[in-house]
Amino acid sequence: MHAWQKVHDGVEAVFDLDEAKMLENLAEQLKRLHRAAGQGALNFEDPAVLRLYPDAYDDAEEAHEFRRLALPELAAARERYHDAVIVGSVTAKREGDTATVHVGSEEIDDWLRALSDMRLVLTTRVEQGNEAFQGVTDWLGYVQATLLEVL
Amino acid sequence: MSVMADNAVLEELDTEALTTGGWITLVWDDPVNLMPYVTYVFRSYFGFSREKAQRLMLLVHNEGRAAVAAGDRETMERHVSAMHAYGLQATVEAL
Repeated sequence: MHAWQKVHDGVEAVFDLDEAKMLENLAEQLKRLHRAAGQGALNFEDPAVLRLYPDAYDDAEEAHEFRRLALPELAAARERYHDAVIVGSVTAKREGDTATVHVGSEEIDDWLRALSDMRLVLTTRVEQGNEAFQGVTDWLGYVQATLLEVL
Repeated sequence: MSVMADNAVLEELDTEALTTGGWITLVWDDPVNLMPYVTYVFRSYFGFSREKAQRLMLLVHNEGRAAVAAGDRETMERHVSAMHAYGLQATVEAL
């Protein structure tokens, strides 16, 4: 992936086809995770889930009550952020083995949030011993950092 | 992980909000989110200047946490929810 460039109505970056596909897959997985969260189907003993949906209070009872009230709306919003990444990958201009991804100014915030979500989950998996995800986590950090740099 | 509100975490807040008592929004350091991303979140959500957002981000990074807002409980809960929606670790604390 080459660093993001500013274009008149947003930003663009050239990805390898594999990279674009991976971003799309990760966004799909995170979307499913947030959907499950909204349906109350997540296990909050999973450290990755707890990193995405941390306790809002020290007190366990207050944290539980806050989560019960805030989670449906929060999860629905967070599911939507990942749509921006999926759309970005699906609509990328493909030439040879590269995909030029265009992100409109309005979608940049969604992209930054989505990349953060992906890194939160993958970092937890690395911490749990799945070191294969370290490279992807670093790469996602590069995608996010270079996106922040062009803003 | 109970926190006493000390001068370091509170230095950026309006003194008015502090003297009226109430609640604060604490953002915690985490090993995942990039420093420029945290600065971006503070700027875009709270509308802080680049300087203030960067100061608060460094406070989070160096002290482990920073109070980024103070006020009534409902407002602090909204801020904490918003921080969670950015992937940041945040809690509501009573002053």
